[in-house]
Amino acid sequence: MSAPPSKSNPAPDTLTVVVDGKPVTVPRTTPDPVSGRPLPTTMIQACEAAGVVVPHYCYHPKLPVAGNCRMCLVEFGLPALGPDRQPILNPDGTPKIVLQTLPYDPGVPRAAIACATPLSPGMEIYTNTPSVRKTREAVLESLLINHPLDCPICDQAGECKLQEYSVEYGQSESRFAETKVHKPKQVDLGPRIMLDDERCILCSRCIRFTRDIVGDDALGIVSRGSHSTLTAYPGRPFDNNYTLNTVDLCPVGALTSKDFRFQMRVWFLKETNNLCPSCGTGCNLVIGSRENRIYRYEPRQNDAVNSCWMCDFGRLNYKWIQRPDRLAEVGRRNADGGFDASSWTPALREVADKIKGLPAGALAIVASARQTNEELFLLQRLAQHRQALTDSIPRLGDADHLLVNADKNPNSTGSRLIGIAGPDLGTRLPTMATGIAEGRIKGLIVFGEDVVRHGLTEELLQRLELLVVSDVLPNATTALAHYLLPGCAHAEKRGSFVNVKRQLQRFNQAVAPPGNARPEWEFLVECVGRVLGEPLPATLEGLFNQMAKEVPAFQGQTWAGLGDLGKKLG
Amino acid sequence: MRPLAARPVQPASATTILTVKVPEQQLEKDRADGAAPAKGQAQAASRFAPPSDLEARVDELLKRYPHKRSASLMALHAVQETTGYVSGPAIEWLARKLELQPINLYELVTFYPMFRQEPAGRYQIKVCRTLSCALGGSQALYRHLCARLGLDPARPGLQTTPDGRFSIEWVECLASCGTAPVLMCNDDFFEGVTPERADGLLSGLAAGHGFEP
Repeated sequence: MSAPPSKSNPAPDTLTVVVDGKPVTVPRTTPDPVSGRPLPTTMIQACEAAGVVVPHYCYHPKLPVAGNCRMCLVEFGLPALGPDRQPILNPDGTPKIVLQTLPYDPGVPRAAIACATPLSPGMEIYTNTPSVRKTREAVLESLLINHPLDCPICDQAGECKLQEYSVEYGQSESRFAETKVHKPKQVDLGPRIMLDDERCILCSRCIRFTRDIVGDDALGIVSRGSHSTLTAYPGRPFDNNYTLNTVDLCPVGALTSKDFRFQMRVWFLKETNNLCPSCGTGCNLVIGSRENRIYRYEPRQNDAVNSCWMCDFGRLNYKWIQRPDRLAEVGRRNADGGFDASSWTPALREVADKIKGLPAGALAIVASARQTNEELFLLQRLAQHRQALTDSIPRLGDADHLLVNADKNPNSTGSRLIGIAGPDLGTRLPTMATGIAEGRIKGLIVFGEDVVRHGLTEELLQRLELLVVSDVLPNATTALAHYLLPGCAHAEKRGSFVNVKRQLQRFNQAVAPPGNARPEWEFLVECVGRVLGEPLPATLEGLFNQMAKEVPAFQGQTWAGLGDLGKKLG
Repeated sequence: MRPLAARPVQPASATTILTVKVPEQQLEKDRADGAAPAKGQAQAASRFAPPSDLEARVDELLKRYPHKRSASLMALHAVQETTGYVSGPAIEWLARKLELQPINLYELVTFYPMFRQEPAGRYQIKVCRTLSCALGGSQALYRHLCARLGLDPARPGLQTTPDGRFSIEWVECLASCGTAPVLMCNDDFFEGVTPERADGLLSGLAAGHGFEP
């Protein structure tokens, strides 16, 4: 790049405007969030670049602009031009700025909606003048005319834009003496969405999302004026796989999730950054939990992965984490064939000693591609040491045009990069089965998979001298384990995944695991360290950083460097 | 001003109004792909049998516009003119024809008060209530007509006599302020309508068709 553009010689593809007295240089055009076509950069985008927040309801950076809520009205001035079309200068040499006023009443400033007004060079935007604040008050008052003000029973309370702006621009008492228009309060829009039409401020975010992002033009506004009502076509359920995003998009409490409705006040929720493990896309999400119970998943913006969205399936796929039949105790098979409850220290010591007792090449490891990189790395270290055969289980399903990937494992890429699996997951399983049948493989370690359903039959597993199984829920394989090590769901531990687009991302612990269950990496560090005879890092950060040194694909990565959005691997 | 004797109305549309029933809207779910019409939609739409000339009329309208969607309003008018009202199945039929989702047309039908979602009477009386007519006695006229027809003048919107012969509703300005109060009966315009003239109108309609109003 050449020298930064100066005021006299601006780069042709940028322009400089002034937001609340602060000059800011922005691109002339910004890609349309849906089509990607260049559109003129708008005032609200310049304000964002200047770090100035303009209140808004209908505007959303990832949706087409509708410009219907009027909350983002701002005043602006333009450089005055002389008859020669040259800027008129002030005595100090700066361009003279003319505040734009109403053409029929020059005493009244002409406000413009910041979300839909294109910038022009030298424009000055004023977002916080007395008249702008008054405009916002008026807009808010009009939006509240038919609003039921039922915050005490509204799920949105606490994260509601109406509430937030009412604090800033609202009036403590309503001047509205007439009768409010009543609309339906419980509209069953679809299997996952309940609509309260009285709360709706008709911003049309949900309509634009489902029409332009999802491609399912299912919602619309019917009737007119005060009676305008958001709805789906009668008898036609709003049931695509992305409906719950409209609940996030809804700036008020109109669209509610049937799953979360009336379950918990949002201000009690602890928010933890995590990842969706339901497919290889690895959507970024926030887990809302309280007192060790998960209440909801919400997508977290990551433009390299999931933008602001996630699918309904992934969002609701959390109930298994808190199932009552979770594996919660260390199990050790006794001489009678039953299970004894054990504790971690003796069980891990015995497992390590038994692994050491197996001849080289007599061990096999099936590690799920749902495990974290750190866990797979430890298992791979163990496999290298014992010359063990390793593999993961492929898990394929349907994909769609937006987020859902056909690979239903969250970390297939990580499993390949670390070397647990080959290019195609599961291709070594037949070799493993033959090895067990022929007696060459005497020990098997299974992490997070029910291998009985993948070719390693119960009969084969019963031939093994050592079967170590770690899982979160009981299945046919855990029933046959010699040592059963209860593990953690993704919400109960820390770790990292690599998604199908090679985005290396980390996630944090939201809730505690049940009973004696422990994060897999934690007990693997003890167990593998004992087999290898070398101490391994006792912290996840240390473990990750060691992995980054040893696995070529992770070269140069650090746990801290991943941040909340992760890093794209080369 | 036209004579009060009623002009014969299109018998085809009138009989259609009285015989067409709204089929229950019953649609299946599952529209993972928004573009492809789902099975349920096809079934519901197939229950709407467009009158012989409607399809041709809509096809003719489509030729006038660069985009099929642009023909929406005119096509809905065509539906209402030929079948008397815009039913749910008719919306679904037209949506398929215009390659739209039914909600797109449903928004229009609910937005514009001149689209009806239920059948109107054979004679549809529209009384102007805008300023000149209001000053000229349209309230009294409306009450009088409602009394004659056994309808409730306080009820908002279109209402129809139980025998399906007369509908009455308020409308905004009919553009004849100098001859207030005015009303329209179907496509005929009546000016300076006093209660007596209204009686004459109703009797004329009745005499022309052999029924008592």
